[in-house]
Amino acid sequence: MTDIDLSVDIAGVRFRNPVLTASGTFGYGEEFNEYIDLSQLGGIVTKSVTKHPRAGHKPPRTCESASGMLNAIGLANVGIDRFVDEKIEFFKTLDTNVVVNVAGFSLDEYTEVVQRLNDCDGIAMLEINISCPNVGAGGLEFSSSEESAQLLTTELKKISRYPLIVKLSPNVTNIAAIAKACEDAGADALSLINTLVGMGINHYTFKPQLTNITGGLSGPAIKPVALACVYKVHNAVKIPIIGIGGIMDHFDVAQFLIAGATAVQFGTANFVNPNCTVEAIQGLKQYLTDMRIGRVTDLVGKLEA
Amino acid sequence: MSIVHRDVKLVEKRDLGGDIFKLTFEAADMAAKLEPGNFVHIRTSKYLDPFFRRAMSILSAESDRFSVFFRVVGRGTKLMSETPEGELMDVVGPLGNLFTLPRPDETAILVAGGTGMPPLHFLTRRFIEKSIIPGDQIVFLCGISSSRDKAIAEYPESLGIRLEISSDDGSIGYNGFVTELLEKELKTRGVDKLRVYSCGPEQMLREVARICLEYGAECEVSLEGDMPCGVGTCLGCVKEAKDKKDEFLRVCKEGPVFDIREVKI
Repeated sequence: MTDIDLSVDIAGVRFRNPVLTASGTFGYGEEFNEYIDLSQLGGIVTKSVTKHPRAGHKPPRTCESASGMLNAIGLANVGIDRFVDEKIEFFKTLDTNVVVNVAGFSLDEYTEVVQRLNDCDGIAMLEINISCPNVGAGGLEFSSSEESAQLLTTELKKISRYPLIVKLSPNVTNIAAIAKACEDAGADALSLINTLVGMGINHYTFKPQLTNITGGLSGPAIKPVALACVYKVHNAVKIPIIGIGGIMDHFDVAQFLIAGATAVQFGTANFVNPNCTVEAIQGLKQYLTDMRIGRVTDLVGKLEA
Repeated sequence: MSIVHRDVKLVEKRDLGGDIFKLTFEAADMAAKLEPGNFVHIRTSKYLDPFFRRAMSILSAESDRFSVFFRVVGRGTKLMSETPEGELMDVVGPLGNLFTLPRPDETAILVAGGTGMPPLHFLTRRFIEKSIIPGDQIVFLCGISSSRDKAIAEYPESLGIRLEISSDDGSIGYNGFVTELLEKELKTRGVDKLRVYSCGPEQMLREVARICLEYGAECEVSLEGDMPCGVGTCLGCVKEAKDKKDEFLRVCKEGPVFDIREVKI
């Protein structure tokens, strides 16, 4: 079991294993530092950072659903100034790859945040969030057409010091076409999927369960959708894919890799089991041993269909 | 405070009637760290549905065990109530902040509404056990909807302090709301050297806050929130900060205990 190689490479960045945490589910890593040894993780992806601080939507912002949850947090975050002042030093102390998730409401906003991050060390990659379903303007609009996704990726690629992961939405007609547009524009990797638009209703009060009315569905409920998206995108692009969507354990990790992902992100699972990532890394080693597979990369895209 | 996350053994389950249950867990490491105000986050199923943990306030914590006390209101609490003694349950805790303890010369008025009673029971026991204030400086006001919930009102009886019970239908104790008892109390004794602690339904807490602000009494309330993570990362359980536009407070991290002057209930 000691000989198992869990390491993966994404755009020249080495990850000690394919297990990352998903944006918005792990804060800036600080809260979970109390629970788990972050140096065991392949990497962490931070909560989205935007140009201006955002308070987020009024509560209720989350509700439970069958094997999952809805959220409409509204990109609440400290803004790029405080992010640079308060979080970067902490990232430098971490012995894991820090991927900073960047969100915006216009090309200018994305550009400004990326430029500010260019001046910071302690970052491995940037993940460009073009797929938040819970904000009015921007966000999702950039991932809803091939043209806009391509434009944003091209412009950010021109200025970014760090490799770019573009995070895609499943709330589109053809995710593979948008993935290809991002690849053509120079994206170094893709992560998918963000949440699916959903809603909940209280049948006694006739009110929506979220103040924002609709929210993003996440958790095991969306895993089959995510697997299908990863599979389709894997058939359409050559750049690495990071699979996201309802991953709870090492078997889920294996399934996403088989579908074509090079790495994965654990999101909502962190809320239910704060140890999920560490347990999955151990479980993955055991699984590969049992399967007589020496390297985790040997799973990637090996679907027999 | 370091957080413990592990499987703990359910050593005792008591069905107290009216769909109310008390579960006691054996966990010396958690029991030693739990302080009044803290909560634990309990997974109600080993499977994926119900998905979230359930946040539970603490009824008591001593030596190697701690207890929670709740009403069955949905599938999660139903599953908890059906868990057999001896089973292991996945618990995270202690989480959240603490009540501010009174100074030795202060009187504490505890205002409990329904299943908001447990954290105030824990706090009162701590007052007594650690001799924080003498028993004659403690007043426990416990409101329930009817005698169906008498298990809730019976709990503070063992504390040996002045206990006043109210019920919405008059079937037990004072006929009316517990907030009326609070207002009478403040009217009679004034608000000097006094602290009010409260936990219960939001509507009741709003009235407690209104009364305390009107009379100028110090008051802390323990709030609930729809709580996916319990540790401050998901930003789901927030409440609006008072008098500050666009500022939210996390019930799980900045709370669950808030000064009524800082949070909009």
